[in-house]
Amino acid sequence: MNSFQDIRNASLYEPRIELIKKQLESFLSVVDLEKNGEVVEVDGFRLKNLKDWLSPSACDPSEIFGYAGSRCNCDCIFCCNKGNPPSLALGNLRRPPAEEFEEMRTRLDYFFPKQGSCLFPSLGDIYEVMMHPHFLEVLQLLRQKSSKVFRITTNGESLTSEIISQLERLKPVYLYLSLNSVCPSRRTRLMKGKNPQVAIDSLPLLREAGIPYALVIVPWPVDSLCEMLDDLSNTVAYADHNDAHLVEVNLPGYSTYFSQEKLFDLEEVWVKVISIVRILRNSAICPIVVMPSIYEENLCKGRKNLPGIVGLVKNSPAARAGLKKGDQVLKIGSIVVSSRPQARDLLSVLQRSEIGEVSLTVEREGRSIELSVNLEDFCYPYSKEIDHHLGVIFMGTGLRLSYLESLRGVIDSYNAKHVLFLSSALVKPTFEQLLAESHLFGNLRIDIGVPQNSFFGGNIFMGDLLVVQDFIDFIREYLKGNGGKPDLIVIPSSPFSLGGWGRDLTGRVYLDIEREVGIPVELLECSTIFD
Amino acid sequence: MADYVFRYKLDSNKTPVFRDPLLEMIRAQLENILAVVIPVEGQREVKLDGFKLLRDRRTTHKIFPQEQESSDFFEERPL
Repeated sequence: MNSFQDIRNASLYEPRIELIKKQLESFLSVVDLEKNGEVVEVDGFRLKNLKDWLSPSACDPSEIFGYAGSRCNCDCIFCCNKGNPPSLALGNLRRPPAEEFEEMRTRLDYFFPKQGSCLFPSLGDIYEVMMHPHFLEVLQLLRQKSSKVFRITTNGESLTSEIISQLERLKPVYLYLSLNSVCPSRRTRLMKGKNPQVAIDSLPLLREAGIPYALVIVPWPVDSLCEMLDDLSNTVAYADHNDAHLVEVNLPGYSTYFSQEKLFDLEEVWVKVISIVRILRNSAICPIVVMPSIYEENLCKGRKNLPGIVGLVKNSPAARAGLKKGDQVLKIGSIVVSSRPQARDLLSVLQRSEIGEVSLTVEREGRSIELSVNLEDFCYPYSKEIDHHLGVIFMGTGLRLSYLESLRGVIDSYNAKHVLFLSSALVKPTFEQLLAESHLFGNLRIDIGVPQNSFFGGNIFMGDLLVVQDFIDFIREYLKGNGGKPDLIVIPSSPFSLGGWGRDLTGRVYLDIEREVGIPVELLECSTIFD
Repeated sequence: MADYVFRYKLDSNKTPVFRDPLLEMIRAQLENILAVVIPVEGQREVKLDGFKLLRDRRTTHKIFPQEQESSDFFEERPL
């Protein structure tokens, strides 16, 4: 008999299972079940017909192979999984590999990309998928059902030439390679892996095999900031030399569960990392993005949400057409572009189209320049399957103007005059700018509040990591002020969007906010700020 | 090959909100279902916070146990 599933994961992705559990427990508190006149003691239940448990899905292959990521062969000092609060609805089952393989095989049997449905997910923390003994077997089975890109996050410890050859046969494959440092001793200090050189040596092998990759770096100040920044520069240079598709620099942070002590000054580290990245962009060919990119925008840009180009994928149609870092997109074809989401949407449509050529007008050093982009002119590391915007890399997703129209619609449906909108420290400056420029809100009073990430604590300040209790605590404090009671509270949907059931990361439903504070609460549909 | 079996454990020790086990059963069932659905009347969403037994329509029982003192949202409303 295989293991019990973790109900916490189900509560996030398929809360009807949690409902069944609670209803059964409720019944069993007042009745006994019996069979043939004898009381039957039950301690669990199982899903009967798995076809009944299909749910709509984009059927990304990681929805299957993600279950291979239950273990890790590194022990990164910055691993975010170490900072997960105990009540997070993302448990890790730690079952025998053979049992995990059985689950993945069954999930594959119910994986229907054409119909857009598969078994409900129940993924917990994901560690290193490539160290699972059945990982390649799963990918081979998966390739028979899906032609989509396998986007695999790996620490690179397993990326020998043999493994890369096997991945080559499974293309399209894209790797997020957490190299972190090109220096073997520093990488070992950071990640405590046994094969740093295997990961370091994999970059030219991936290029040879035609497998594009993003090189991921967490600049963690394990020693002096100076040493960290030097190493960041060296690692970016190595990635650039080996034709990385992208370098992704993930700004470091930690929850209170990771460390109750202050480990570093977040602002100092983030500002210095961004400063060095902005210098590196002048010399590197490959694009370098800093995550969360909206922090860089807030720090360095007066006006937000503009379609400025921060990088170009090497050998992409956009790079070959002569677009440059620092250009700002003005027109795509004949359409005037005013915001980053609009530019990204248009480029994405073009990328998927059969159009062979398009003109892009950009502003460069105060002048307007029109360039012709040949959509068929590209080679490695760019590819049509993997890229989305013809090789143009922007400073994150940006905020859609349509969110404001949706917000107005929500406010109208309540006939509200005083609205409390709960944002995040990162998004607030852009939201305020859009609000000030909009004519939609007339005489309405819209207060913008920023709840603290008390649940995660530490130096975490991401809106998408806020939970129901954080919102409740903020609203109660707000109500103690002299500003009066709002008619309506609006919260972006992204902290509750993981499973589509309005749950936060603890599995708690957002409806509890309204029940606790006694003011109507509505979610405003929006995407996460991560790209 | 047979499907992998998705199994879930039941817990037996729950702290009841009401002392009356049958009342608690109904309260818990309503609380649980209101975590996955929003009731409507016609097209209008209805926000429930309590219930009455058909045999005693004078007494309102709260569904959600965590109400705050400052809120009048979950007050019992006897006729």
